[in-house]
Amino acid sequence: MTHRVPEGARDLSVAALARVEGEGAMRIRLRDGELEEVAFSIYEPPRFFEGLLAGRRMDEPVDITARICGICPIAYQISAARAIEAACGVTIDEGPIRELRRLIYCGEWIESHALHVYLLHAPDFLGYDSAIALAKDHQEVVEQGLALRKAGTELVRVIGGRASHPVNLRLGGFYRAPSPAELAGVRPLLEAAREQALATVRLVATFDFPELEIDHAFVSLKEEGRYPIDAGRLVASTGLDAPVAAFDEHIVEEHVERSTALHARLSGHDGTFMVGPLARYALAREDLSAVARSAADEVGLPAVVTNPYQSIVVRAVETLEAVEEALAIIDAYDEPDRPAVDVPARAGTGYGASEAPRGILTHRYTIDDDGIIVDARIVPPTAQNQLAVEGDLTSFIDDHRHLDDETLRWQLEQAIRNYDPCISCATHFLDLTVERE
Amino acid sequence: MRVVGVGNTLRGDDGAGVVTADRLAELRPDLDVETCAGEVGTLLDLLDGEEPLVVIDALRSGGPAGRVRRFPDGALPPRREAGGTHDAGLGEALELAASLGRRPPSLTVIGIEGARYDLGVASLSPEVARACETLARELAGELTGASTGGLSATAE
Repeated sequence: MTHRVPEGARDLSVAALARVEGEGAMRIRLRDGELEEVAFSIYEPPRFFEGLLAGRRMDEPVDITARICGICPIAYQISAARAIEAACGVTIDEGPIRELRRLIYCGEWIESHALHVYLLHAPDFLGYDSAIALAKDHQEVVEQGLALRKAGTELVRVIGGRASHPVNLRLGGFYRAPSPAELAGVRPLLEAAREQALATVRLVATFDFPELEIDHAFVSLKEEGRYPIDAGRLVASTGLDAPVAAFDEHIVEEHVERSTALHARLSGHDGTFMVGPLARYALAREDLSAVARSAADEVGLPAVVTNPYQSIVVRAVETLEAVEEALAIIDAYDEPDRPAVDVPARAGTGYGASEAPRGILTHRYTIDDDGIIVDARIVPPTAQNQLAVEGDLTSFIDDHRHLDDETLRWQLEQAIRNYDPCISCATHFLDLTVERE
Repeated sequence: MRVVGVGNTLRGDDGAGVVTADRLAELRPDLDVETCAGEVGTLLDLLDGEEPLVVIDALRSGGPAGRVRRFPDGALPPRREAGGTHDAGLGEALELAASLGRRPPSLTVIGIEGARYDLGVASLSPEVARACETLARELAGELTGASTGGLSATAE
């Protein structure tokens, strides 16, 4: 990993951040104790799919974009559907179809957060280099995470038709609406998940968190009385409050030389910004359910969390929120008369945004009168967080340059994991390059 | 017997496992065939089953495109050390499942060597597409029904 270090310099790099070489990397150079360079760079798979969408029928992105990410297909499906519906003048902000969308989204949050908290982030705090090593010593911890995750998987399966590659979502809603009895069938798992999620909040709150204070603006969606998950307006800690249709006016992307990725800035704000759990929690804490808010209070989580390492606690609180919200939706569910509303094609541009587990995921589509996509744009959360990640790495090194390389590298990797970056979207294949035959 | 194709069909040859599984499901509707994106949680669920499992995945080992290799008992060769920040692959899932005591009664991993993994490419290389078709036909003839039997564990 360490290579070609100039005399007097320390060169830390983590090339193995991603499943594919070159897709994500952190490069840090210290010379004579001074920080010379910090670069966190990723390719952004979603960008490469925009070209694939142009020229397709408007009902296709809901299926196609679901395949961009194996972890958050629902986020892609909901953002895509909402964007195309907006272009066609259709809004689904209330009623059973909206509730079902929110419910399946809760399932994805539970799955994704449980996976990240237990398999990726907890090992860092408990002193293990992987979930595999953690499982050898503390099988019960990993099992609790997997059990919690299962409630989410079951929700996604019951509503989405399949646990992986959900097939039941479409423009305007669903191909088939689940019956109240089918949803009630998930209740026992969710009730168990409530206890597991609460136990998770209590567990992760006991971790030791490396010291780091951030000063990023927070950006999230917002909807009065409901924690931001599947919809909302675009808000920020700077006072911004705008419809999602104004996304491009407020989140501005620029090219940076060293990276193929675009770097996002919050318009009118000089500093960096972040999306994701910390931002949502800071901007919508008052919209949490009583159960989730009291769990946060119980473990002493401040109203605004400024240490990104504590994102694991916020993720645990959000998991509990998703479980609570899912139970509430199931209890109030009325099967819709029709599982989808009509979405007649008309020329226009529409934006759709939702809160993927790792932050706002925005889609924009321009379609013509025949419902053919003329232009597509996808802005994933990790792209928006890139500068914030670099900022965190820089701050952390400033305060911790005395650490030896191995410890420093590990804590920096952990700092990147705070953002649950979607580096490996769409990549997973078996990599066997050291094998000799 | 359960067959799972792993991969992403929007990423060139990465979709080989999914394409093969979909084709196998066409040829043999009686089989329990599914696909997944390779997300570690889903893989762990699959590995927790009580039925023999066949996993078909794209492989990158430096061999010729379209070469098909079988790894009986899920005995994958050692892989390059690479930690994901966000997800893990089949190798990690197998290892994690083993440390949790999860193991299907039998497990065969079949790897199809890919050549190109370009993002946003919804097609396979010609060699890989041919290999998928051949493999799907082989498996269709080889696999016994949903409730019984399994796969001959012939290596390579």
